[in-house]
This record gives sequence, structure tokens and C-alpha cells, in this order.
Amino acid sequence: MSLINYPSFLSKEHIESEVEKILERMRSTPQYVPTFPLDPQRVADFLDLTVVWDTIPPDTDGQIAARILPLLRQIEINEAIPELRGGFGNSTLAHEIGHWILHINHNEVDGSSKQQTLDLGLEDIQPFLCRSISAQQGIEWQAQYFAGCLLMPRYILKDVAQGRKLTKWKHLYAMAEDLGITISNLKNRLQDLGWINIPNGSRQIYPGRSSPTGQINLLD
Amino acid sequence: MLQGFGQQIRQARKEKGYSQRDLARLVDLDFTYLSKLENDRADYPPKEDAIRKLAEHLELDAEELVFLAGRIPERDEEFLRQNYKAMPALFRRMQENPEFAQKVFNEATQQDEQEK
Repeated sequence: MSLINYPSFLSKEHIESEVEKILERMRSTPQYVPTFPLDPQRVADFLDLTVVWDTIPPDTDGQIAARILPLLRQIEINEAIPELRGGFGNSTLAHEIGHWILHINHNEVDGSSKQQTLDLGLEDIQPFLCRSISAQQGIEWQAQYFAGCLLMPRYILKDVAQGRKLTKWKHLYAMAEDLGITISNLKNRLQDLGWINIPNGSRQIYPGRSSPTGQINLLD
Repeated sequence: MLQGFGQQIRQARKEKGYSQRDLARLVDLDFTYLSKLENDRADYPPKEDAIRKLAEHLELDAEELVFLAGRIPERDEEFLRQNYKAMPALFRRMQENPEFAQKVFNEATQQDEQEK
């Protein structure tokens, strides 16, 4: 059995439910009660994952944004990419946590760690590389959807959206700032939820499953 | 270089419920540097005042933490200067003779305990 799972399909409901399970467990652990804007570092701590910001040299296929060292339970974020220091970095870390939850075979990790501890001569396990979170296919899409659910749970979005119009960019930017995320993350999440719709190449925001007046029923 | 220092910091930070960014802000360190300290990847130890701030916020023993980071506390620097010729010989003897080193450590610890 491999350390990495490559599920061909995971439903949005399944991914959201995985996130909710983690948040629920955090809520019942006093020092980890989640607060928003969420610092995904605290989620990593809760899952006993270490996080280190260090330089990750590019390989022959190009720049590497982050990588997971499964047997060390460690996530490395490339500090040589300046954009990662802010909201984009939060999204990247949440994305890597998504890979850890959805795509790493934890039983196999535990078994391999024990074998390595016993020095049974296992070959070095290759790190799980993440080049770009813009790749929206397969496991990259799954990890990114996980990150969106983690940083922007529905109930938090509803709170933050109170008194704001989702069809106005100014309001979306204010919401993104409140949540400590990028406008791109927020836009994608709201579109995934069907709360807004922005046609490709357009700046016009249309309400999703909403009334023609632009008033969105967030309790759908 | 900092083996043990990073683990102590990380464990105490987690127990306090701080993120790396939270703690880094409190002690005026860059969070990326703090992440390296925690993972024993930093090229150099933090300055003594930063270590003392870490100890204060994490409720750790500052003296122990300074030594664990590989620093000599400022207040001991004058003593070292005064005895600079004896120090290399003392350290060498302790490294070459673990029993002697253990005896020195035991006596120092006992004295500390009695003073408490």
C-alpha cells in the first residue's frame, strides 16, 4: 500500500464533512477552539503536524510552493515565494493540510515511521510536492476545496456577510480582509457555494441562487 | 545546534494555544524564523533578550532556555572573561572524563536545590 492516496473523486459534501469533523474536535479542545480569521497553523498543531518555513529549491519541473514530508509529519512552505507570507500563505497551508487529511494514508505513515525507527532499511520516502495551488484538477482541486471550507466555513461566511452585498466587490474585499484570505479564495468559495456567479472574463458579480434583486438568501 | 530547544518551544507554544505567528508577534521575531527554531533548522540561535521573552510568554525557565539555545547568559560573560584561561581546560576535561563532568553537575545541582 502506498503512502499517498489518489482518489479520482471526492464529493464536495465529503470534503466539507471532513473539515467540519476537524473543527468540531478543535471546538472541544480548550486550547484549540477555532477563531476566525482562522490561522491554519493552529489546525496543523492540533493534527500534530509541524510547519516550517524554509527555502525549497526548484527542481527540474520548476518552482515548488510547498511539500509534505509524511514520515516527519511535517509541512514545508517555501519562504522564497514572498506572496506566501500573507493570505495566500494561509491558503497554501490550509491546502497542504487538505492533502494531509485527504491524500495521505495515515496508517501507512504510522507503520513506515515505526519501521524506520527500527532501522529496517526502508528507502527514503519521497516528499509530497505541491507546485501551484492554481491547478484545479484532481487532488489539487480536492485540497483547495478543503482549504476553502476550512478557512471559510458556511456559518462564518454567513456571519461575515451580514449587512453586506455579495454582488459588490467593495463588500467582498472587506469580507476577505475580515477572514484573512485573498479575494480570489473568497470569490471561488462563494461561487462553489452557488452564492454568486461571475462569468469567465467578467468583473460583473451576479447573485447565485438568489432573487433578481440581488438579495441572497444565505440560509439556503 | 539547537537540539531540544526547538522541541521545548514548540511544545510549550502548543500548550498555550498560540500559533507561530501569535508567538512571533509577542516576542518580536519573524514567524518564519520561529518556525525554523522549532524545527532545529535555524542557522543561528536567537539573541538572549528574545530567548527571555520566549521563556516569559511560554512560562519556561529562562536560564535553562538560554543555555539550551547555546548562548552564554550576559551576566556570566564577565565571569568567563575573568577565567578565560581555565575554561577551555575545564570543558575539555569534562568532555574527556564524563564521570568528572557528572560529579561537577551533581554538586552544582545539589547546591541549587539547597539554595531553593
